[in-house]
Amino acid sequence: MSEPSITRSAPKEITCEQCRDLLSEYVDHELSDQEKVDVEHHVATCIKCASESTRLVGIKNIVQNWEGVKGSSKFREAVLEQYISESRMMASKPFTDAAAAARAESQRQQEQETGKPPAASTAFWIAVVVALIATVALVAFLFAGE
Amino acid sequence: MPDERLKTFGDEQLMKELAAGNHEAFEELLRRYETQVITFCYAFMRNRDSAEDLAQETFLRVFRNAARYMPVAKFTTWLYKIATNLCINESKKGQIRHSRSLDEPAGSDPDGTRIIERLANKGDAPLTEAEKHEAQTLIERAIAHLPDDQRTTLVMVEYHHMPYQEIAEILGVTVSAIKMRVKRARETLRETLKILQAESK
Repeated sequence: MSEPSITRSAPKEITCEQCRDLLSEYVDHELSDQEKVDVEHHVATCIKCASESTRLVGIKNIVQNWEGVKGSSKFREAVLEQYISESRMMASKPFTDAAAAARAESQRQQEQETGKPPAASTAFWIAVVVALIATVALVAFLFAGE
Repeated sequence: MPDERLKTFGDEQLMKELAAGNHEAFEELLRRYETQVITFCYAFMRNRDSAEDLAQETFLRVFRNAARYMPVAKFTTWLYKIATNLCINESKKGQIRHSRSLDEPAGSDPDGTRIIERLANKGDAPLTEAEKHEAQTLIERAIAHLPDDQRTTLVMVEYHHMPYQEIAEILGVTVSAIKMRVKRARETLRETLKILQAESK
């Protein structure tokens, strides 16, 4: 079985102005296949545009040598410190949320039964104690792991 | 013992680990993108301290939103959108004092011309360590002299190697605008490098 042939688009003639408009995108590999063929065909036959293309590639080579801006020695430490602080706060949040939800539910139930704003109920205090025990256990676990 | 597997994870997979509470996933993300994000912020602010502050906030926002992160777009698109919004908001607060290196007098730099020319021609002999350091200073000065839009866009093209489409999405502009900025940035850079070369003679 014969290999499928790869057909290359036929180049269209473009002017120097059109070519120079496309050169920046060309060096960035942002042109369509047709545009790429057109530019390459023109550059192969035009000294001025070939020279301009070389200059653009030169500028690109220069800038691409830039190593960027590295973080100071304290940067990573500062980010991790803040991250750990926030992640600890986030970890304890479900327990404080659960205590608040239990209290709200208990108050709602008491209001329904008596029609009066409730005093603190047994169920409420049980929920608070459970939440406190869970929070202490978590803090102990986190500090034990360091 | 750090989990070496994380180094092989894609960004989206790392985010899942982070959302599940894996601290090492955050460290891996930081390791992967620290310099890139700081450089991105520096391209906006032209001040190293501000760049680090904004980069720090960028990473923390990644963590805070990890549970809500949906890999609809590339992770880097999301990451740099966060950084862009932070930088734009900070820029609006007022004038940022640019890093001293931009204000340094040009001085005599007899080797500057040769270094620039050798960088432009990839096939030339490699630079020495001292020349590499000089090259970094020259390139940074040239980039810093670009107007804001041209500078941020060109850094994303040449340093972050992003395609125009992604840059347009991150910066919230059209691809046509990106094409124009890149073209003008290179024209401006050419003039700036000529000035740097003239100063060195």
